[in-house]
Amino acid sequence: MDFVEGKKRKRVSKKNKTSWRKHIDIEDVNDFLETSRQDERIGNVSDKPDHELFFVDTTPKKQRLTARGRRKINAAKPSRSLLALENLSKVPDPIVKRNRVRTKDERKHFIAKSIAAANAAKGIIPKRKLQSENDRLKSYDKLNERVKSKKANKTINQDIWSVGDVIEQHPEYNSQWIDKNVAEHNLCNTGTAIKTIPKGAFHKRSKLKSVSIPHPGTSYNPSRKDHEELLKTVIELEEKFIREEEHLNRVTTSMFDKMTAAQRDELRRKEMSAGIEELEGNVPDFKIDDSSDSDTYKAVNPAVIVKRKDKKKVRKAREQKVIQQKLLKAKLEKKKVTDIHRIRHLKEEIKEMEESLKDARKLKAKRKQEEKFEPRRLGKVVFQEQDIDFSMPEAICGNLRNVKSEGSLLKDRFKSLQQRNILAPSVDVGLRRRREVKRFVRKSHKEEEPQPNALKKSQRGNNNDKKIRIIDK
Amino acid sequence: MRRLKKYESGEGSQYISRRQALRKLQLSLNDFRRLCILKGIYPREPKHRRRAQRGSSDIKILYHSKDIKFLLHEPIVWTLRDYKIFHRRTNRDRAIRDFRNLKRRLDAFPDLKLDHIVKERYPTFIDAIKDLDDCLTLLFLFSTFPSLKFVPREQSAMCRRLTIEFLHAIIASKALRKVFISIKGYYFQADIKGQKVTWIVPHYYPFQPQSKSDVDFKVMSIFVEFYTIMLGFVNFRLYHSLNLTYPPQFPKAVGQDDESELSNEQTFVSERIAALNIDLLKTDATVQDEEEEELDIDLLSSDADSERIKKMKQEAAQVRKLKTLFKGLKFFINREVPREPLVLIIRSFGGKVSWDKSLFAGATFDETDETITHQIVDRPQVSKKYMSRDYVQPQYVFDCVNQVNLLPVNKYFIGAVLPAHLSPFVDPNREEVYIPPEEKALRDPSLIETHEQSDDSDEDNDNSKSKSDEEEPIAEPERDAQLEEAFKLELHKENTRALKKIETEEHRLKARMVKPRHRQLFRKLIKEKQEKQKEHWLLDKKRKRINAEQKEIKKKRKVEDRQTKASA
Repeated sequence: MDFVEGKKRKRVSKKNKTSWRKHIDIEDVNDFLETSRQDERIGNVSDKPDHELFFVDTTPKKQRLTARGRRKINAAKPSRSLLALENLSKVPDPIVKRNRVRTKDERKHFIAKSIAAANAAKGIIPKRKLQSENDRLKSYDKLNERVKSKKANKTINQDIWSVGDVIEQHPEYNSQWIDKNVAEHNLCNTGTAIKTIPKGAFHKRSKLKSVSIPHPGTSYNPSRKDHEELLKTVIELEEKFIREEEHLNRVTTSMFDKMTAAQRDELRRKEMSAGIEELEGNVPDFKIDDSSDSDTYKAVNPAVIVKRKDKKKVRKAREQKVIQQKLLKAKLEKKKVTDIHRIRHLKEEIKEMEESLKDARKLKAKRKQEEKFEPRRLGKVVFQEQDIDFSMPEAICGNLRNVKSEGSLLKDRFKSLQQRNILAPSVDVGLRRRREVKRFVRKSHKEEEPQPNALKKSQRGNNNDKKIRIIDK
Repeated sequence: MRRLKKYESGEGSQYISRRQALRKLQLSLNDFRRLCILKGIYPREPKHRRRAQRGSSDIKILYHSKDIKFLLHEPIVWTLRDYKIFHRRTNRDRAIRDFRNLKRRLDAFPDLKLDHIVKERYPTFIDAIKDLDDCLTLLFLFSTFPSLKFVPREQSAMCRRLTIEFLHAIIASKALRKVFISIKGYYFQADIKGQKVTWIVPHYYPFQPQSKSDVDFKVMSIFVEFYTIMLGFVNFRLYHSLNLTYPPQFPKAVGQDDESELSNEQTFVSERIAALNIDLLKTDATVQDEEEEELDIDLLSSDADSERIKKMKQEAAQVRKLKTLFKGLKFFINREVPREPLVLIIRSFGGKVSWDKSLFAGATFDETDETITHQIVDRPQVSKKYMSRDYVQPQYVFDCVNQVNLLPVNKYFIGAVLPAHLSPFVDPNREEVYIPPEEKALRDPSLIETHEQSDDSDEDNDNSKSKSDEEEPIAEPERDAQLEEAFKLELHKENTRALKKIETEEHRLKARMVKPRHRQLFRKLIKEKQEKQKEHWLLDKKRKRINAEQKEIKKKRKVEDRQTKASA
């Protein structure tokens, strides 16, 4: 039967009375009869009066709370952190009379309580409370005063250079009868700090000027000669960069062979399967060169045999050595004699040497002077010189209205501070801010795609290329 | 005494790495950076790095240990530590949204007091002025900034206020010496108490975004924080030395009629002050501007007239001339012209200046004023022109200052192609080098124009007259000058030999006076000079030859033309 039920047939025969009854839909008729019977029992809605159908809602509507009000209510509730302590168990406490710490209110004596209540009813406030309120007000006043005075102090109203040093500020010590050391000692021991500034603390670290003199070619309307001069220096610098880059390229990238991935795989396959072919039997002919005496065994590293010299040879060698020494001595003696004749030449040589030394010394001194203008190595990062600001010839328009400014003054200042050894050069701030995030794909999501990390790295490489290209420009 | 271990003496103990310094001072890196910048303590490069780093050879940032000890006694270290606690408390207030407490805390923000540091770093006023270059350039730059992440709005507003005050002091003391418009910005050089102070003012554009990657804004902001205090004290001192009231005010009579327009008096005053166009209130009105310098130099000159004193005298005369360069002139600045640098220049050399009332507050006269002598316009055309004034381009003012002379206006008329704007900062040694006459004309047009014209008048005076009628009135004084020159030459001819002899004698004496340790240098200088002179002479000769050749060619062509005309 369930076979029949599973499929609902489209057409059913309603031939018999039973089948008719089985398949006919009488729901609407039933519904109608049901409602009509209900109406008979309790009557229609339209027949009823209003007061039976509706009622007046007298309970007040729940008020919408303000954020502040809600917060207040929440503040009155115990904190959420204590919720876990609340006992929600239906199991009754096995110890019926459990000892617990009574609250502060419970601990109070009933007489004290009643006195307090009576006082409160009379409007008497305890002294302690009054005092605390007073103190609070006072502290606020003080704070306000401090804020006010701070604001007033912001305007400069004194000449710091007209005020003398510590001793001059204390007239009792500022007299010719009191030695400076004594005055300092006394001041120091009566609570006035005397500071000594280390000698070289404020020495200038570089001889460079803080605002360098502008090249005449950077004028908004430069003379042709000046501008060409400036452009020449810029071009020279740029060429230097390009040359350097080319050099680096030559020494690194182009030094290595390039091959396609297929070639690389082929090579790898070959390398890895180097010995396998031999095992399989295709032994290449190695033995051709040393096949002269195939019978005798020859080790790869034959043993070293020490051949002792015979006595005669030793003697001969000793004799030869003595002769050599004698000859050398004679030669030296001879040289001494000739040197007497060479005095003039020697003098010249000494003079030459001295001169070269002098030159070297001079050069060193000069270098030292030059170093005073150069940035020192203060940190890991090497100082990189700023690009020269210049205007392209087509950008010069000859009037002040359309002048196009080049370079950033802020960057110029920043670099200048680094160049004058005031700031240690640091990594590019923009780069420093970026955090390195290690990304990985879930095992369930893993596919045959390259890792996002690797992808990112390759992108970063592209960025570097862009930077280099910018430098090229 | 215990025997010292390795690196406990010498270079090893002299230096301290940054990390060690942080531990010693109990500060975070950011606070340490701030402290160092404020106190003027900078890292050092040791002579022998490995020794200074106690054996390790990587490159660390090193400080002198004595410098760090010096920082240890600094009271602001305590304030920096207070900051940490302050931040913790305010953050807590913010988290629990206790804004009442937060406000109270913010009001009681522990301020850094830097007054004593300024005094410490610059024991005298002159020291402070020597280091003013950096300060001014940074503050002028920061005064253009909107509020940025590490540059609060108050800071840039403070920079603006202080720089304006400084400009007022420059105007009142007439200290400006050189000006230059470069593509970077406006270069100004002033002479304050005998020190040359150079600063750059950025071009006036509404807003220029600054790339964050190049510059550490946080660090620059700390520099600015210190420099604002420093410039405040410098301004105070400058104002008092000029008998001006320090928070700058102006005499009440100036702007009373306008006062009804602006409800807020404070903004009214600050706007007028920012306009730079009104003399400030003096503390003592009776005191007149005195000129002591001239007297000094006159006294000196009576003692001996060596080269140096002669030079000084010349310079003093130039400065005197510069100070009254624009006296009696009235400038009107059109719109689209950078107002501030021009007002600064014109006012500090005695001129009067105004602009369109709707452009900026503080205009003193209208465009319709007939007494205006110059109107500065940066447009190829102007719709309405007045006959009584010259219409010039802004570069005119700058060039006048650099050449200490009121230049002829005709080269700077509106729409004219301007002569090149030359830098006043190139070294005077350059005079020795050969300068082609074209460049010379750019530098000093009065000198060379006459020269060229005199050449012309020698050769073909009839042609010059027909060329242009402008040259005619100038011709007569020229001739006078020529006569004078000739006269002088004649006078000199009698004594040239004797003069030369005296000169050589002097030179010999000078050579003898040179100390033996400076002899080498002296010789080198003389040699250099001779070489330069020779080169100058050679190039001059070459030029003359080329000129002569060209003249010949011209003559030939003329003759040919005449012949062809005659034949025709």
